[in-house]
Amino acid sequence: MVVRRGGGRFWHIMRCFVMEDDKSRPIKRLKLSYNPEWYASAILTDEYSKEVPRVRVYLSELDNKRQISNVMQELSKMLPLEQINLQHLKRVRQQDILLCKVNDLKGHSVSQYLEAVGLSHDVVNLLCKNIREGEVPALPPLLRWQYELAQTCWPCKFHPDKYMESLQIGSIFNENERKFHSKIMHLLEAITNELEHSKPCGICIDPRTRGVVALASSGTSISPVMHCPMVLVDFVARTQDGGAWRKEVSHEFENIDEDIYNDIKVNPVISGIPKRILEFIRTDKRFKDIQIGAELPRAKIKCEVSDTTQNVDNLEKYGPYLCTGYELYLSQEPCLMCAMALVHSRVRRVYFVKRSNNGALVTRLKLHAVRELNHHYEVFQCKKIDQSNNVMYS
Amino acid sequence: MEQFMSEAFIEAKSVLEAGEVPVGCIFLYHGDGKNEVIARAGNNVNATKNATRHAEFLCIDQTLEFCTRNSLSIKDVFSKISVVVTVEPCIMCSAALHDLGVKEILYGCANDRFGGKTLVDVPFVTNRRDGQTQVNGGVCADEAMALLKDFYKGDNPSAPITKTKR
Repeated sequence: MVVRRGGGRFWHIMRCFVMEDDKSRPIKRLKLSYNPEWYASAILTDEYSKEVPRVRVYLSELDNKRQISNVMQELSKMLPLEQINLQHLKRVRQQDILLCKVNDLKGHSVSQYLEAVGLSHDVVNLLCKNIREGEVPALPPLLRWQYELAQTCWPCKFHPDKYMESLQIGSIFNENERKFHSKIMHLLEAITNELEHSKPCGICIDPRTRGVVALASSGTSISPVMHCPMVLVDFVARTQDGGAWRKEVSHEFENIDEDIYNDIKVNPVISGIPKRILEFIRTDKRFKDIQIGAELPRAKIKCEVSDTTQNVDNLEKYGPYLCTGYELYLSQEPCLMCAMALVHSRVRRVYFVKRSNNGALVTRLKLHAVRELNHHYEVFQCKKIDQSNNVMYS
Repeated sequence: MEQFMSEAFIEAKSVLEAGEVPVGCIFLYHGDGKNEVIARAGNNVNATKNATRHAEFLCIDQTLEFCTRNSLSIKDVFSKISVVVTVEPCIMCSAALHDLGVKEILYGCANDRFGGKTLVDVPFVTNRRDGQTQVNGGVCADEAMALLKDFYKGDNPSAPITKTKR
């Protein structure tokens, strides 16, 4: 089933229409599933989710197009668009020529400014005959929708980024991956509602094996800083022979007989999952295909300095280190403390369900948009969709 | 406050041998008319394999134990605490300390990579805009910076051997 954001109702109506009017063609029946699917919607940083800002400029309208070549040669030599940080724009639109930013004049007239940058007197005269102010996109458009909007304002250059486009339109996940999201979301829902009395819960996944590395719920009844994500990263630490809150949660991990979980283990280490949750996953029929376990931390290997491969998957290469390469599914948008804890832990992706009123990934801030940080994860909000592809809001 | 900052420095230096980033912190509790250091720690990330174990968080845990031991209200105790830390608390620690409502945070040098005050408006994001937590930096900043610079000349033993520098 193809999930189309916002187009759900339309496709539903189309299907009804086909069913009634064209009975000769076999109709592909929708797979009726009683479990609603989930849809992960990327929360992009503002530069991708907002319209390109605009800047005021001076435009010169020439009397006829034949004059364009006369002035362009000097203009592109003495005042190239790179020099005024507008290299993402085209210089000319019909008879209009882009001259300079209004703010660059600093009290001078346009003709004074143009002569100062070295244009000849004749060209300045031609350009200054019919000048007006206008607005143009101040920055390059990054996504197609921004490009299309920006084009209505002034012609732009555009270099599409396939990956970012797929994040924006939601085509980044194939059907298989969407099914996996749904599976993990069902587990998260069940644990939240049936085991943890609706406390915030979270699951950490190793996307390479799709195994559950760790699973945790909020421990704020023990300590005010034991929010679910903080406990979760500590449970991940346990799988690497670490963990700081061992005393506080010792009752959760007593007497685990690892051997009885052999049938659902993909990786050897299951010390990141509390005993009663392990038991729940193993015995509940709904979750019989959920796999558990983290990879053991590897011995240190030295890598050659000559290795310059970009985008190396550090988890694949070096084995578990903090939450490197891992993906987190959270029932709630994390607060600032937790969102930053996930930066320190070098998480790869964060999926959350409900917004929080002090949430730091979309509600009050997009922490993953703070450039100065040394690590940036991708953020998705998971939304339920019903049979006819409509997004259900809780 | 310099006196307490030097205690924080002792904590910072004490974790150097374990390969930790040398950041030290003490919590000063203003209760019953006296000032008492009730928590002291340096970073403890490497041993726990948990990147959130900054000195401030260890002090928070110690303070919670102090409350339990003395049957004191958590909220009340934190509102009477001065945090003295050698480096500006990161966004995570700053958010936690604002949330807990500590009286004040005094730090040594600024942290332009992760700093809560430097990079993000923590009181706004945490919905703690009543201004009860005072944040001030610059106490013995040079000494704090020198300690960090010394450290970063060395290697982080826990990090995977890094890919080539950009």
